[in-house]
Amino acid sequence: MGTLVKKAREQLRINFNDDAPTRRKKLLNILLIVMMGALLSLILAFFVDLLVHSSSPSIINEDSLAILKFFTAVGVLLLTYIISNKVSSKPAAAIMLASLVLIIFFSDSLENIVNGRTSAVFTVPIALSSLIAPPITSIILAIIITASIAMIGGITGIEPNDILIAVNLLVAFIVWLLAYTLERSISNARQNQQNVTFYKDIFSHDINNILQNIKGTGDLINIFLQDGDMEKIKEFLSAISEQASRGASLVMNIRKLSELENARVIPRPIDVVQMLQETIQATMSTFMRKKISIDFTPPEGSWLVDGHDILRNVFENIIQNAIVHNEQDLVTIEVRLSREPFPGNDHGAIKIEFLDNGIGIMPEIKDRIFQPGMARDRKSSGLGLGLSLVKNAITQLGGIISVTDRVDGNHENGSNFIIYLKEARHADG
Amino acid sequence: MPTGKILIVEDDIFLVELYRMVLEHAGFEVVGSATNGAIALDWIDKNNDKPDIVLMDYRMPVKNGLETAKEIRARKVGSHIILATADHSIVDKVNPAEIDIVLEKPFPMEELINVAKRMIGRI
Repeated sequence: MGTLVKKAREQLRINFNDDAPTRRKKLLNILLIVMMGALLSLILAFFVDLLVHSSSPSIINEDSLAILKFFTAVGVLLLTYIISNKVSSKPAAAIMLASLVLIIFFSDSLENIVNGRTSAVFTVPIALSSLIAPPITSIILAIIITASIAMIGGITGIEPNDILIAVNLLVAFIVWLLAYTLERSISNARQNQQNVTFYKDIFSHDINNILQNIKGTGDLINIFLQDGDMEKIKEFLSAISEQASRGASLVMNIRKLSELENARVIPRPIDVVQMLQETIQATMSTFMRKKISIDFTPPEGSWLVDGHDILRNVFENIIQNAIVHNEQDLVTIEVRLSREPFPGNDHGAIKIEFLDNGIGIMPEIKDRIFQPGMARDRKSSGLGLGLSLVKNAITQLGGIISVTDRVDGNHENGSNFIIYLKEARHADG
Repeated sequence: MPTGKILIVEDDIFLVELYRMVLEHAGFEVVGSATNGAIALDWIDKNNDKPDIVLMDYRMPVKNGLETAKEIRARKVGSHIILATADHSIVDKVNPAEIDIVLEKPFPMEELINVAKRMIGRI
């Protein structure tokens, strides 16, 4: 029983972290439960009335019919609730709105529906639609209702009430505007909250890790000082310096990521061959204690892309990940360059591939590793900040980045990071 | 007196080497290392000589420290488990039946040595 209540509470409680579809689904569930409760109360009231007026057979018949109608309505609501939670909230919302519109259409005479006050009642499903469906639904629903009223008016010769139709359309517009603005605001606020969590996460986790390395190396120096092993001590001092550089690089990446979120990168022609060569050289010198083989044969000719200095960080991040997330005695990275059409259009593109023999990326997280919030999760530790920065930078340059397995279908044999960048139109810059 | 066999599970390769040097200097035997929980479990399954202590990071690719600890316990290996984490927010989520002790990074190496010695009865 407790589990059921807990489950129901989860299905109904609207949280700030809920995305728009989840929020709509919960609102629909609340609405359905409230309506079911109201109808069941009415049924109860009818039963009480039935007992009080049991001597009058005519009342019993009318009440029985009404109760039957109410039970049918409860059944429809219950079915909608089940569809919402077991299938999808979209058809459930459609059933709910269609039922409400039909009930209004059949609740009164045609004359009142077309030109009477009843047509104003349509504002109810129009307003509700913006809560349980995407905001634009309110306008679509208002147009459908208006067209139906006009059609009925045309067939029956009843003149539609222009003012009430205008009211319906105006309500739809206002409701759409409010719902749209609210959804945008919530979405922005959620994004900001995710960013705060993301940066907090980096500072609490990554910085602590670097501090651990520095502190631990300091402790080791103390140990080896007692042993008088000066060679080891020199090595540890250099390691502390490396860790400090790692911390500085982390801080720089955080700053760049933050800047990328707030500004636009203006592309300029970049010689991708030269940049790759420089990055490879710099990275190799950073990981002197690992056996690394980076295979990059610079092709001849001009390889200019619509790029930016940030590309250096992109290449650095990908190569460093390939080295760090690697358990082989010899880390091998192959960098390939080719000219290909830009995916989806005719623009010439330069395709850059980084094939490594690292631990690879599990299929279920391939789609998420570039997402800032998601990338810091438990299955992709250590890849997060760099790859968020990489994705953001490539997107800002109008490029595309993706990751596949180095050996198709076997992620354990390493990864292949593929970048498409637009070829610079004006080679002379 | 047992020397104390230790398996290091940590995705920061620098820290793996650091742990190895400190622990070996203190007389422990580092029998293996793994960069994530899945590799650690594989190591345990393939080696008959089980570690006395598993020194494990929390946040790692593929399988994190808490998930790995749960699976180590399910295998009834009998190892002590030290969870070393930079993510202090998970300390409250730790199940004492699965994790013997949590070390919050950054911690002094002396603390690690003392904890490990206590676990194998050298203190």
